[in-house]
Amino acid sequence: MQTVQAIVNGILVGGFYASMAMGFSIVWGVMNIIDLAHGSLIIIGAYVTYELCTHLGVDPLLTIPVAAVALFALGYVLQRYLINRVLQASVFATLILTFGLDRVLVNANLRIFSADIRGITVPYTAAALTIGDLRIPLIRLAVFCVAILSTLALWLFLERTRLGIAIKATSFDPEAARLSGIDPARIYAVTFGIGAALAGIAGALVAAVSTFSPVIGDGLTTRAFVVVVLGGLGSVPGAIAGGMLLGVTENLMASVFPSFSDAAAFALLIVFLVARPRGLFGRRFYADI
Amino acid sequence: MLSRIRRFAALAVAAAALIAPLSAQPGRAADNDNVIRFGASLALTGGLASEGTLVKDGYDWMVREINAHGGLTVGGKKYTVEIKYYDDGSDTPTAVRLTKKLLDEDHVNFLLGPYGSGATNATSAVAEQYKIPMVDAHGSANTIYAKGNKFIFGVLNPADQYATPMLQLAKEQKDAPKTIAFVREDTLFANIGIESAAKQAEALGMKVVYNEKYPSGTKDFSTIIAAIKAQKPDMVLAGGYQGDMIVITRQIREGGLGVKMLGFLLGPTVRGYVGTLGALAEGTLEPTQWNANMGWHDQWFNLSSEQFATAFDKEYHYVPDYHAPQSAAALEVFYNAIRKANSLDPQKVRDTIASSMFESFYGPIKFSEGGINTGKSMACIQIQHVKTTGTNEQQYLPVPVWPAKLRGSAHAIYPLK
Amino acid sequence: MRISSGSLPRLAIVCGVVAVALAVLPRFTGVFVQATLADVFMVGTFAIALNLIAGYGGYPAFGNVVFFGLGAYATGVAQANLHLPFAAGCLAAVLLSTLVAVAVGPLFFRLRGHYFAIGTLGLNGAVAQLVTNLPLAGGAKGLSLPLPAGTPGTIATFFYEVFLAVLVVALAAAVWVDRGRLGYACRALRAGDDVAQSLGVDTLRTKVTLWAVSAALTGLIGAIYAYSVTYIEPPDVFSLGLSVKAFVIMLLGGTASLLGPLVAAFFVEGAVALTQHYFLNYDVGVLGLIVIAAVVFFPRGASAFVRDRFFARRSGAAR
Repeated sequence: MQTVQAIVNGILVGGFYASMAMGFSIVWGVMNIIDLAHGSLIIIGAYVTYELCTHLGVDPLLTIPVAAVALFALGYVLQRYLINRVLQASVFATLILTFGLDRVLVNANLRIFSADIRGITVPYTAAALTIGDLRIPLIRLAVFCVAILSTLALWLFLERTRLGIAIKATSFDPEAARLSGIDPARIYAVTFGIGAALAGIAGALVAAVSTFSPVIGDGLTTRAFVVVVLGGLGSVPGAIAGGMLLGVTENLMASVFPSFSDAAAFALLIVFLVARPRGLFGRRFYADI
Repeated sequence: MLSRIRRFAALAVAAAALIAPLSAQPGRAADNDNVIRFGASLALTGGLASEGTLVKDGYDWMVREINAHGGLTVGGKKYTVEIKYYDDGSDTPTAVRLTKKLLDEDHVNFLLGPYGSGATNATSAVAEQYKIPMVDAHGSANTIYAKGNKFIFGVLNPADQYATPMLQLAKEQKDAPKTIAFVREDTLFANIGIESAAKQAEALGMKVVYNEKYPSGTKDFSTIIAAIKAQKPDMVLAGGYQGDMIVITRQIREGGLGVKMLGFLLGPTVRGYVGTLGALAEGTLEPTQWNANMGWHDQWFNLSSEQFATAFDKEYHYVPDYHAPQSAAALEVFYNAIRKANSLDPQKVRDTIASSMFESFYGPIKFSEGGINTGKSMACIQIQHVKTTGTNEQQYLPVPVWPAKLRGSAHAIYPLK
Repeated sequence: MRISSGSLPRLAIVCGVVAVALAVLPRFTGVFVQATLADVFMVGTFAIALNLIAGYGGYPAFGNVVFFGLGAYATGVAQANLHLPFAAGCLAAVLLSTLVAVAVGPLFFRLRGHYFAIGTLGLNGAVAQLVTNLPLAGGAKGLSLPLPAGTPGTIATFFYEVFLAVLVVALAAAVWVDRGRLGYACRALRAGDDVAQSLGVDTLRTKVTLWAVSAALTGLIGAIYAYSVTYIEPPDVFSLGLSVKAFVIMLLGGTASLLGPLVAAFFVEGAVALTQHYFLNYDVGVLGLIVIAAVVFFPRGASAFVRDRFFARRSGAAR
């Protein structure tokens, strides 16, 4: 019975992990940028939610649109006026840039919000769906649903809208895209903005079910890394699958040997890298360095 | 044009690169300077930043208090007191490097401890190498004081005593808890605290039904809590740093784990716990090194515990938990020793510290052979929904519930609903 | 940068003179300068070793710090538990790191680019978890090493000289990789495994050798570091922060460059020292700004910039 609960917990937290990874995956898959500042963007989203919740008293899930828009704007500006300068140079250059950017964001958050640990506790924390012995807290279910819905929205956007298709086209072949009238610079800025918006949504979820402070961003970025590898680079359903796989693995180990739950996650990562590097849903043509 | 700028920039950068590491040197303090300098490497950024900031506030408060009372007179000469801080980013290797820098380059007279057992453990070795006394307020791991290091002193009670007040409180209850579950972060302080707690619980006749550790950085405890729930314990004790404790408390509620007693080695009184959890915090227990109602009276500064709390609140706009007075006490140990020894010689001061025996607003100070404070012991608080003194407003506040003489007319909520 | 046959002896003489000058520096300077430079030497060695596998080999080992941690714990266990001397600890560190690189290399080299990078991150995490759960190594409670004998002055000089010596060895190794048959093999590899193989290069052996040398050097400085800091916990030495910093240094200096990583190490460590000294509340952010500025102005690394600006051949492209 505990095993079933562990699996359910893993699936629930998997959605949460997926939300953290999706923006990271899109930016990496489309623009070949490993955004080390992704965790800090999530944290900024969490602060947006926190401020709205404490000043307006709304439910954290309702602040998601605001967080998304705010982070989109931030991401767009960062890419257009900063990251774009080194995009042509090399993949490594963008890596260093996002590293430096992350340091600046962390310091800024520390100065503006202080190091205090924060989170939002919703009034319905104790409420849960019970199916026999199985317990599914409502807030976690809500977070899971938000993650799935945003996945769906992102997927629809990429597959069915002109802008989304333009983004995919640019990632496969920027030159050809330019020839068909697409402006890569604008596309990149929009893509990065979308990645940041997704980070903002993840941030709102972090505020709702977890705690945060300016300094935990690195751990979130690392998790996003692992989820992307498991699920497959640039794949939206992959992020969900990867997140759930990671969540279930961690929780299954936690139900028997909690002190090895991290070790299990790393082992899973290595197994995938060795046996199936493109992950569950990854596609082969995404360029390597 | 741009390339010329770049060329110039390159040369400037190259020049800077080569001399930069060596230029971060402050001027040597003159020997007839009238300042006694203490050095402290603190976690002002990084994972322990929220606790580190509390420590700095405590140190700073004491510096002001000492200087406001005329500083220190040594050998007929009057001195003011200053602290030189560096931010170690919650990184132990950085703390070691910065502590050496404080000694080698800033030529501080004495050392104040960093935040956390790991950093204290590592930096105390530096103090020993340089033979400069360090008084720490936040290294609770017993191993720090068991290495035969003669230059480290801790004003706090060690980690293996943290669980005692909560277990004793449990024992006192009618229909006391019979089964207990432990969960802790796999980190030095929590390991020592909970391992000792498990031994004590068994000695008190309780049955330990679950005792596991989780890796640092874990974000989700729902499965561990489900596993604990399956064992149906009467009491749960958790150990680790604050962020985790908040999530665990929340997830205990989410998971529907009902216990009679819930305690944490650290958490409920740290800033942000009650703020984040609100009503969920009610009933949680925490051992405390200090409480404003303890009634200590400072030998040097004519302040009671309560007066300290009021004065600190006025200055820093928050009610202090134990971090601030504990940090202040570390500085006060030096104050006491320097005055008694009437010297700034490190060895003399060290020897005087070792024989300290005085009462601070933090509590009585007396050091064991290994350098840990044996003059006081820990109490236990419970978060309760009570009226703030002087108002009709109800808030979730820590209320001392053990030992009995501290509890007074309050009572412990038992069992939890 | 590929050093031409003509200029190598000249470069060697210059480096030799500098090395000797550095070696006698402790006579004239205080403990702080020695400690700071020792740090620069250590980080520089880390970056040079990283450059062997990442720059020359083309395999970006984000998690190369795993060898640093292994080295630290090898000497920790040797000195603290087995009561062996420091030299034995260093030997253990080198052996253990090399062994691990050789053992996992063949498996990991099947991954390319980003995937190799993450794989090494996973390796670092997994090994760190293993060590944390090993009571022999102290686990999460950390490991205390015996204190080195001597005064702070002599101790500082000791570590200064040792790190300097290891740096020289690292540079020598880099020259050996750059110039020798290994260097030729690396350049062939860069053109692709098939091309390399058709040229008669044993690709697997080349890669494993590169990583083994890199691991040995990294493990060695891990061991020295552990002895100098006297107390280690897994997160301190299997530190992602150190790994990323070394990677940033390597990239700023320019990959596949001999001296680039070292110069960049000076620069970054200097920036860190300055920011920590002068900007108590902003040190992290200021460092970030410096790094951003560095990469915006020198996106292809300092050595590429230097090469293009000062060493470009008059005829044809700079190589």
